[in-house]
Amino acid sequence: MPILKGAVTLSRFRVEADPAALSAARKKTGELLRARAFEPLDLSRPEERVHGFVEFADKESTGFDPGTVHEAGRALFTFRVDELRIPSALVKSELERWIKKFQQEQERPPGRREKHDAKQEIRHTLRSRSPVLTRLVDVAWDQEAGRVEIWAGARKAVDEVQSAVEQLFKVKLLPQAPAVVAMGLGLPEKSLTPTAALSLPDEEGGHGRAS
Amino acid sequence: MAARRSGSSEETAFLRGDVGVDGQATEEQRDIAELERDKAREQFLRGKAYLGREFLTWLLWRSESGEPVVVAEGAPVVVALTSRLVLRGLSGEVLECIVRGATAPYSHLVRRSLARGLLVHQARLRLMHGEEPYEVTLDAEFMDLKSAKLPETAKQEPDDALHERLHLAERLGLLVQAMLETFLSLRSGRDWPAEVAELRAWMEAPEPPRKPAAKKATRRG
Repeated sequence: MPILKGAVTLSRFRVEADPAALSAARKKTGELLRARAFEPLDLSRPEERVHGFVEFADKESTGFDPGTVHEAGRALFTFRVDELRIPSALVKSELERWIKKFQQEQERPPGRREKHDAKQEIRHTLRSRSPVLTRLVDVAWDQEAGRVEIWAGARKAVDEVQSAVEQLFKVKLLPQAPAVVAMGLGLPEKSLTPTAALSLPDEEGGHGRAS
Repeated sequence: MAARRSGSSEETAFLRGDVGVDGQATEEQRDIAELERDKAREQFLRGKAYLGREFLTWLLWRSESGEPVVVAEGAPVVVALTSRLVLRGLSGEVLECIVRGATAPYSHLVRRSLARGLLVHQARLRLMHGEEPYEVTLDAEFMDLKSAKLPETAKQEPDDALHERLHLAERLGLLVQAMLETFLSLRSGRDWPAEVAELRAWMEAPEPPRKPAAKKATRRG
């Protein structure tokens, strides 16, 4: 769900960190992003999934030069995930063919270890023929107000980007969920129990009136 | 002989309560129902999602009058819930109920469901902030902004459009935040029991009698 077009779907966070980490994040945003820059999939290596940060305006670029990160009063950058999609049905059919051939040649079924090794070999062979799926999640960070928006709908994607930002900038992102907002307002924990009259029907199927 | 033995064992199983009158196992059905209730309870408590459910339910009630819910960012915020509404509960036969329709959220059916212990878990909101219209789907657990529509802006340079889109999305977030903070402050205050009593009275109010459909005038001859 990129910022520039499409439906507006995002998760909101409040940033918490010690002043030194916040100051470093503000002054060295580009430098820190470069340290976790996205690197494309290398088909000669075993990884089938890679991720990292790319520039907001150019999803192929990881220079993060001054002027490319801060825009519209915010730090803008993108989390990119590239994943090889090796169809499992293809792996299965190739493996079955291999098992038949193995039985004909060896006159015995393959062992578990032999099957595992063959499966790895098949996956490796299929890598060059498999498509790479790219997912992009934009991040907007208002560093003055201490607010972060992660422009994604899927919870798994939001969690992954949240974790990557927290690790990189050594900050804590607090989701603007009701319980966190209540904490921010300084409301006592005992006032945050469910309202019985609204949500907790009693044993008879009626409702308590007291909250 | 075999048929008689089989009939006798079915009767014994029925008397033990292992199967129902239809011959199906009751244990499995009970287990599924228990699992569903456990899951509903877990969803209710996870991250205090009930706070969000109570908020959306309160918002449904407060928005019915058409009066502003809060004043935020220098202008009143008028809210209307529209199209799709998801209700969830903790016990009973119905743990989730989804209603659709432009005015479905304010229907008597929804109010009766709320009175029976279901709460609003997800809602589509139409907000008027001063003259600016927004639409957004909110869910009780995270209050993420989903499939939001922002006010139309005049066509501008790409940089200005980016700035405007970010600004409006942020403002929408702040409006939701303002409503949520108003609710949470009210909820932890002394007036909450009275507010809940009014809310329950609204849920339990009898359905107004339907007006008879106007008969079409027929001309004879």
